[in-house]
Amino acid sequence: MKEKSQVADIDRSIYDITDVENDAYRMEEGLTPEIIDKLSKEKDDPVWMQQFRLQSLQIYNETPIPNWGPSIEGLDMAHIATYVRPKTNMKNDWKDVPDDIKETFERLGIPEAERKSLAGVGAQYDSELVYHNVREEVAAEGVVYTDMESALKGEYADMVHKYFMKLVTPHDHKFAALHGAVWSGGSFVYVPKGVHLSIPLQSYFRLNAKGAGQFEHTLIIVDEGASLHFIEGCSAPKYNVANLHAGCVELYIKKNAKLRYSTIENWSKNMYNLNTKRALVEEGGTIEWISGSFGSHTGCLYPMSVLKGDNSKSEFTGVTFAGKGQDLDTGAKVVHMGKNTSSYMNTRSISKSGGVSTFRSSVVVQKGATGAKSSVSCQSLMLDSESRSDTIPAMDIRTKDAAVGHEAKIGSISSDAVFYLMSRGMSEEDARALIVSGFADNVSKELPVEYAVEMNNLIRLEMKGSIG
Amino acid sequence: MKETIQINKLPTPTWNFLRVNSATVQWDSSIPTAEEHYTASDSPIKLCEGFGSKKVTISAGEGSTVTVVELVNPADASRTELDFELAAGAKVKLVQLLNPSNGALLIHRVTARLAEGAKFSLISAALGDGDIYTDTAVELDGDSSSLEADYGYLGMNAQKIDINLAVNHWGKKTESEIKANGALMDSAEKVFRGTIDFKNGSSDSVGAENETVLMLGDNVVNKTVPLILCAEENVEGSHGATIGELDDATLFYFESRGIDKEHASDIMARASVERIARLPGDGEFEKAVEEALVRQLKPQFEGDGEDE
Repeated sequence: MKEKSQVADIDRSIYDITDVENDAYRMEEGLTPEIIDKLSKEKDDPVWMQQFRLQSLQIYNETPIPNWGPSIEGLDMAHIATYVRPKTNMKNDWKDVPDDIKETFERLGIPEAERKSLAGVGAQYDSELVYHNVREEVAAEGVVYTDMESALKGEYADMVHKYFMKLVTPHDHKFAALHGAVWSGGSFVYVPKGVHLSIPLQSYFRLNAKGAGQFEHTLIIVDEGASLHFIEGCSAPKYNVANLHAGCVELYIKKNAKLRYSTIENWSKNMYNLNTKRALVEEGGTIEWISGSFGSHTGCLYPMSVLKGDNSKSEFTGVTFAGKGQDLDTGAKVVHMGKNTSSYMNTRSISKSGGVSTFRSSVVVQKGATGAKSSVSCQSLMLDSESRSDTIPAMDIRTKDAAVGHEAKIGSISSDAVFYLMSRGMSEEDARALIVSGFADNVSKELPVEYAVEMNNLIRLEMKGSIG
Repeated sequence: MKETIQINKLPTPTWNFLRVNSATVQWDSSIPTAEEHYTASDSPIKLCEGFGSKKVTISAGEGSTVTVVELVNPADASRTELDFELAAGAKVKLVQLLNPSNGALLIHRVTARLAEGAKFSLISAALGDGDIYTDTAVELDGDSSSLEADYGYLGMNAQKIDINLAVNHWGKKTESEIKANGALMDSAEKVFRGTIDFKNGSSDSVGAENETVLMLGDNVVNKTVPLILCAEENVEGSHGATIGELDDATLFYFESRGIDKEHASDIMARASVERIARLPGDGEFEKAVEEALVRQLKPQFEGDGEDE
């Protein structure tokens, strides 16, 4: 029988500090056509968007809750405020952002990261962006990085109309329909042909309002032969009522273009994170997803790559850490449509203190996708027997000219490895934290160093509190 | 009276668009179900089933060794259910040929409950030209109980082969090993769902699952869904799947011996089922599988002869 000892949890203050709610406008709770109308008016939507929102609401009402995946019984849409506007409009200088909001982002390290290593930053607070800026030299190359609302009404309005929710339609699932009805905020990025951004852009989403939802929309178009690394971060303080995140990410990767989309998700543990992400990859294009899921009470997140063009590629590298009270259902989907396409998924999941981690994947190779190659590797670590770890992969292969491989393993931390590290002077807790960090290095080694450090800190933070 | 029944349910469902959460078939509920019961202790049982509906219960006594050879060759719709109860230390080997003809529907279900130290071995060959739905649920209740399952299949024409296996590890030090090897030709469609479920308390248990699918037809469809569900820390679970045509190394091996890709594919397709035929060491079963294979692959070999 293994001995278990307890160590107190360490401080999560940088994520959990709650600002006093001092909103300029808070929509009443619930979801009705009248509320959607009000939202459209608040946001001064063009006519097509007003209609789109109402159609999406109708689809939402007609679409059942999925009969698979984690329970979302604790989420009551009648008690979610779908729109909360902060007391400031969008600024392009941190000095102009109200102090309390600015301090929140300072604590999260966003302005510092912008100065050191980013080509542009967008910061959303509740339902609207409060800060957006892109370096002059990047803008000079024709790169567009702005908030969705500006893009919707400005010179890129036609482009937004052409691409908005065409890849993830409101018919996709209930929460995609919800997003279509109440979306607000998010970023629009266009990288022109042949432009390579050597340093990343980042959007950070902070939800401060209690009992509210965040529904930002991210639309990125990387034109032919261009490349981009986009980083997305998110967090919220913990409340005793449910919050909801139902964002949507649509990525268009044109011929021979490349996009790396990195996410470190650290929502608070009262959050229902029902996010939808999808990439359409054209001939010779590449999408790389890097995903770290640490927060949320319940999460459903399966970035999908549609390999439409010949010779297109996708890679998904992910780690999920489910601790006490968390049910994180994560993974990826890929559809091979073009010829000679390839996909690779490499994931790790960790379950601890009663957390439930599920890896779910789907690989579909269509009949015409000859020469397709796909490989899936998932490994799961169980840190105690209060927790759960499930792997639910599926492959649907419809051409003989394909090579598809899959492997998965579930196990626990090797006591020999812990003993080895302890014999060299480490405490048991540090030894286990080190082993778990190493287990998740598939993701950390793909992130810029600052984010890898943050991810390892999150793992250490999650590992505090129980050993054995 | 035909009714729609849902069978071969995945223990934990996934995306509906994949259409793998269950299978739906039409069954004539007016067909009466015959019931048989065997209390077995060290005696072989031969079950030769045609069409109709049948339910068989088999109890294997403590420490007994039982082999059940089941040849299912229906020419019309058939539904069979085998229910095994294995007492402590019992060893049961179920050897089955599922071989419908005339396009007959074949529905087959096996349940097994194992006490301490019991071992259940399933060797299954799926052939024929009708749709086959086979569902197996094994409960490893007793400590140190184990399951070994080995499937071979050859799907041809527009045949559907739908296999579902779920093994629940309840006892400590339980073991499961699931293997499936098969080939799909023409426009055959196959679903293989294999679930290893480590329940809380099943410490020191091990489960492994592996499937290799040879895709040989232009219109074949293969769906593979290998699940591991785990509520126990101290276990080891793994699964793997390889799906595709003959790999380059195998092709090179054949071609260096003067065998072209088409014939190499036929040889490998046969091999996936012939391997199963030889496994139990039962002459009658081996002969039945060989005959079924010859019937199934004959037209192709005749065609080859005419070309020469």
